[in-house]
Amino acid sequence: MSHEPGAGDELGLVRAAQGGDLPAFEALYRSAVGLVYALCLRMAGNAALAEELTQDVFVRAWQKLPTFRGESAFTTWLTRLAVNVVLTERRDRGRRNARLALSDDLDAVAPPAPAGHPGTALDLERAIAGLPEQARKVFVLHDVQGWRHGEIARLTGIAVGTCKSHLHRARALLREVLGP
Amino acid sequence: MNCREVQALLDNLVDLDLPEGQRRKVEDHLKGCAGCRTSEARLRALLARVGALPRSIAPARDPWPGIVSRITAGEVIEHDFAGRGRRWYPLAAAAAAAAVLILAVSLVTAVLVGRERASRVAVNPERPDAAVGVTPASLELAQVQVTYAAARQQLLAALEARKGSLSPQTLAVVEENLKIIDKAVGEMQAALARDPGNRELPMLLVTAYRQEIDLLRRVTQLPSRG
Repeated sequence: MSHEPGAGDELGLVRAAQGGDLPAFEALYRSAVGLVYALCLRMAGNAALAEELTQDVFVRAWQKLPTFRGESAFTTWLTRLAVNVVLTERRDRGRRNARLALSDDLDAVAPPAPAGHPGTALDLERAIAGLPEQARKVFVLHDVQGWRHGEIARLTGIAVGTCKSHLHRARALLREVLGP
Repeated sequence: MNCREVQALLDNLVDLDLPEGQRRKVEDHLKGCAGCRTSEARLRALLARVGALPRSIAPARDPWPGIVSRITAGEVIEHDFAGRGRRWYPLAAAAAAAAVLILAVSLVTAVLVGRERASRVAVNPERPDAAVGVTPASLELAQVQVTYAAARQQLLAALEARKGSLSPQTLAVVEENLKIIDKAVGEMQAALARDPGNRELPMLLVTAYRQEIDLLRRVTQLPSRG
C-alpha cells in the first residue's frame, strides 16, 4: 500500500496538493497511510477507532496543507498533526467495548511476527493496546515514536513529572504482562 | 543507594536522563546487585523489542474513499477549547460541490465504460442506435455539465454575497484564478466536442471542474477580514 516518494517528489506532490490537486494528495496519502494508521492504532488501542482517526488526520491534513511550508519533511508534519488529532479525540467510547474488540482487531491488523519468534510482535502490540489510556499514549509517543518528555508534556498538557510517571508505569506493566 | 531507589531510576538510566553523579551511583549499585541487573536487562530487552516494531501498518480497509467523500463534501473539522472535534459542512455549497464531484467521477467511468460498450454494440446489428454515438455516457455528460454549472452559479452567488468581507487583494487573486480555470474548461470542452473519443479529456475536464469548485468553496469559507 505504501510507495515512498523521494524528497523532491514529495515536495512536488505537496505543492500540487496545496493547489487543490486531489490525485497528488492521494499519492501523499498512499506513502504515509501506514505510518499514520500505526500511530493511531497504537495510541487508540482499537482498530475501528484508528481507522476513523486516520480519516480525520488526512481530512485535517488536506485542510491544513496551505500552512505547510516545507520546513520539515511532510511525514514529520503529518505525524505531528496525527498526534494532535489523536490527543484531542474525545469521542465517548466504552472502555469495556474497546477492550473486548481489541483481540479481534489486533489479530486482523498486527503485522506477522518475525521468523523464529512466533507471536512476539503480536504479543507486544496486544500488551501495548491493553495499557491504561494515558500510560499507553505516553509510552507510544516516547518509546515508539521517540519523542521527548518535554514535547509530550506540552502537547498533552501534563507536567513532565507526570509524563515520566506514566512512562514508568507503562514499562512496568509491559514487563509484567510479557514476562521474562 | 538501595534497590528501591535504583529501581525508580532505571528508566532514567536507560533513557540517558541521569546527572553524572546519580548515574555513577546507580551503576555502582548494579555491579553488586544481581536482582537490579536483571531488572535493567529486562527493561533494555523490552525497549529493544519496541524498537523492532514496524513503523508502518496497513489498515484492513483502505480509508481513502471515506477521506475523499469527506473532502469533496467540504467538511471542516474544528476543535473547541475542550479539544472536542466537531464536523460541519457549508450547506448549499457542500451539497452542490459534492453532487458535482460525485457525478463527475462517475462520468469519467461512465464515459470510458460506455465507449467500450458502444464500440462493442456498434457491430451488433440488433443495436443500430448504438452506432450513431447516442450512449448513456454522452447523456450523463450533458447532465453533469448542467449540475456543475448550477453548483458553480450557486457558489459564485455565495462569493458575490461575501465580497464586502474579503480583501481586494484576495478577490483579485480569486478572480484571476477563476479566469484561468474557466479558460481551461472552455478549451477542453471545445476539444472534447472536436474529439469525443478522446479518453484523457474527460479526466482533465473533471480535474478543472474540481479545481474551480474547490477554489470557490474555499474562498466562501475564508474568515472575514478584521
